[in-house]
Amino acid sequence: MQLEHKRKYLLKLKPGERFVAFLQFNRYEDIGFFPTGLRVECCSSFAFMTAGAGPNAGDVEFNRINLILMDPFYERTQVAHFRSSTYYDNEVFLAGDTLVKSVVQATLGRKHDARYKTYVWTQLPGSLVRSKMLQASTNKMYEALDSDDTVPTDEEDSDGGALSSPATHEPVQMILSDRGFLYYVTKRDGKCDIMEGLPRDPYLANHASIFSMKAESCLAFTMEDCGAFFFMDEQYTVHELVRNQNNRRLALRREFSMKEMQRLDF
Amino acid sequence: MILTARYAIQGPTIFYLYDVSEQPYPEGVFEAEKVIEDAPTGTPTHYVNGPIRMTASQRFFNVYQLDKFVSHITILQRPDTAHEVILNDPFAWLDLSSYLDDGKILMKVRRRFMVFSCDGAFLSEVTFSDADSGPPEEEDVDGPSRKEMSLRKFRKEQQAMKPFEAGMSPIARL
Repeated sequence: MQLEHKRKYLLKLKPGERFVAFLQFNRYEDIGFFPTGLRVECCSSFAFMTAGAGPNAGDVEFNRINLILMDPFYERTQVAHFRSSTYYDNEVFLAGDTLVKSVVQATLGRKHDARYKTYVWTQLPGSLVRSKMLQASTNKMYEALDSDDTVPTDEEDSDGGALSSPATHEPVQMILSDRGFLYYVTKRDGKCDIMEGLPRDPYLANHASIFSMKAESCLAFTMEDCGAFFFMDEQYTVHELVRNQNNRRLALRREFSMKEMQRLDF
Repeated sequence: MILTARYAIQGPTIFYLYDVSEQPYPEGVFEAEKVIEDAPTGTPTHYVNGPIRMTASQRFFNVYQLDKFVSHITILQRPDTAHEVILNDPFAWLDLSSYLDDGKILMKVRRRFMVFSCDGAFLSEVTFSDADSGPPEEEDVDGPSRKEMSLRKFRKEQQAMKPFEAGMSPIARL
């Protein structure tokens, strides 16, 4: 990257190391980085995952989190590069290059919770993958039970699961809120669902639908800082959704649209 | 894609939205326009990627290609932004901010004091010497502070502590 033909920043990965995806995170603690004693107050931060072969790059089967901190408020820009000593399992790496978005979700609730866990959620074109952190010494799972397979799926829970088609993920980016909640859109039986994943319950099967509407597809899905959601259906109608006062479900507040002429260009 | 109640930005184009309950589409309002218009005599830009929102900011960027293998990131302010972001503070570390007498802005972010111009440009970082930080610390009743302690006295204190340590049981030492 070169800025105004003056400053140039290049990061050379280790031999055999490969870039996997950028990571979105909310707090440094979420990715296991504790900047005690470091002047990171005004740093821009970039987190990304790598994988690769060789002693410098870790194991080819696993992913590693990298963090770049840049402090421009000096005469010369200060840049630091940190690499995690622990790895995440290989589901993301095996997915190839078709990644939509990767976010970090942590179960950290209180500041001094020393037993919290972090997970990397990666959105692929048709699915959502949760990667777990591996034990540093052995590169094995912390707990064998810590897997999505141990939680009953929706199809097993509901009696009519065999009749309904499986949910598919809509091709809109998932959202990580500043409080660690995960939002994405799925479609099943001609209805689109806005799904919510709680940071304290990081299992895919426990993600709950907070809004459901009849729509063939979702063209866009965003969330504003104030907490309002915007959902654009296949008719180019934008639905503004807000929280109910007595539960976590969403309710329709307003609808917007664009002029018919412009829909051709959209 | 950036989607709000007023507009949707998709690629290089911004589409203005209207409330469905207020039919028909209000006259005199833009329907859609390019985020960046090419200058009549300038090199045409080719849209490559975006818009990508910057976390904790009111800005986003699009990537345009001017020549082959050369791409430019163009940083833009969201159209309905009514304020200027001087410093991104995604972790809520800002302790105080204040205007100075000459119109500059002083900010304290944890241990750093920084001065910005009135329009948000970074000027300098301020450090305070001990002389400015107030009256000197009161001396400890039990003895001088470690900073004021001479090396000879420090060694003497360490020697005095050694027998005490040696007399402790192994469990207590653990």
